[in-house]
Amino acid sequence: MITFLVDITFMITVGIASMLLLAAGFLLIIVVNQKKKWLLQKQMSQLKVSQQNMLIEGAIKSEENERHRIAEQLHDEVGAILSSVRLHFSNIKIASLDTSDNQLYEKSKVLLDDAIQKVRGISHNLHSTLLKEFGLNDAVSHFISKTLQGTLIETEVELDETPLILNQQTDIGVYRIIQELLNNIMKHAKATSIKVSSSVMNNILCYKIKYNGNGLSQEEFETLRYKPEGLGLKNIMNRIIFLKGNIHYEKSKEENSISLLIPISVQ
Amino acid sequence: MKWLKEIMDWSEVWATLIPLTFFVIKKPGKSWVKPVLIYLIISFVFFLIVDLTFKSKTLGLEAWCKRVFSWLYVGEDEGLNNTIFYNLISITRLLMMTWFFSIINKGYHKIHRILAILFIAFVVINFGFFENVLIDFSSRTLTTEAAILLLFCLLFIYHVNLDDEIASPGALPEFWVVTGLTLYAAINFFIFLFYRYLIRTAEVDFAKGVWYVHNSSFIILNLFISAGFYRAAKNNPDNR
Repeated sequence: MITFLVDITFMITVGIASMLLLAAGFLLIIVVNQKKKWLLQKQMSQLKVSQQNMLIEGAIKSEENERHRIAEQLHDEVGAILSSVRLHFSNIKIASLDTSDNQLYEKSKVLLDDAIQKVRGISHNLHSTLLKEFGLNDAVSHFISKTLQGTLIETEVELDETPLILNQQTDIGVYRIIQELLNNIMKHAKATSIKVSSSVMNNILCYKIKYNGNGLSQEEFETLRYKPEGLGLKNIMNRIIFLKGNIHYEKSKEENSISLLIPISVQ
Repeated sequence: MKWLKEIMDWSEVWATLIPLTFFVIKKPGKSWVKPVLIYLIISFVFFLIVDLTFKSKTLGLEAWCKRVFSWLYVGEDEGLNNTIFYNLISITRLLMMTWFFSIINKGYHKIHRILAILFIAFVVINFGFFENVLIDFSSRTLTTEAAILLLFCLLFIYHVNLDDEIASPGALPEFWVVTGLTLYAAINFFIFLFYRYLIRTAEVDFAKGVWYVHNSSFIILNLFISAGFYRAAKNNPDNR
């Protein structure tokens, strides 16, 4: 009987200890395993994001290269041909022309000058020479004045004068986003007034575009940028992701606004 | 050491007050808190009666206890038999924890329900034909309950392990409660299994010693429930 008692007490003690060890060990394994799994997932998602950023960077760079190539060809080839045509055109002896031909000649000359100007304009827009030589503020101001010239849109530009030396990628990125945003406003908003302002605070470059007419809310922007026809918005978002920035759309009856926030390192 | 023995003897009562205090102060706003809270209140009341009747002589409440709990009186030798409360607490615990697990682990609610129904059927048959609910410490009921609770806990932990969204199980308030329950059920499985045998046939001193292990695990369970309540309150936006 005594032997049996020793056995049962020993068995119970061992049983309790084993169960406790099993339960505690099991819980510990689960917690550690879950932590490992989560870390692995985090690393995978980071890898995915960096891969996505690399793809965006590649796409932006190739787009920029393509723009440069087209701009150079337009300027050097089409522009040169047009200038040559203009030179030949000016050598035509107009004294021998009758009134009707003279009118045609003058009209053609105006159109030719217009074509040369347009090609130059397009070439400059596509090429970022102005941006490289004079900086972001001048390039943006120049783009706004050139784009909105001759329209009935009332324009106001107030850009922060803080001397900024941004890296080339940021410069081009911000410039292209502003270009795309203004083109969108002109195409879709039916605006009669546009105000562009910029400020720099806490190493954040903030561009604010205020305009009237048909605005876009943040929800609408989020929906549209995933649609196949929203290529412009997709490009804007890709550039913002690449620059690690943020964009916020606000829509109201009186005034719509777009805030663009880009982190920069002020030098 | 006498004071330590007294503290341990009353641990089933004061231990339940820890999570109840946390509940009153922290107000954890989670749906799973309700079944746990009901279990804690019922446990507190039943364990208070258990300890009052057990300590009635030392407390000088023997006459009062005999009058109020006359239905527990089994004779001059044994006096008041309070084992019915252990049986009732076991049944309450399983039912409340089934409710608790049905809330936190919805994917397995059918298993929870089926096992709870089977347990009730088992309890009815056991107390109807084999054991007396009033006087028998039902090792069968308590062991079955511990085994079912362990299964529920393992199912929940398995579910947590499958969920890739959960970064750290410790961040889940209910995981703390489940951890406490897992340890409680694991430690007490063998205690419940052999306790009736120990108090009837074997050395009673060992049985008393083993019951202190139960009481310690009960304190741990209540501490884990308190941690769960604390975490739940911390995650509750109304408390920020």
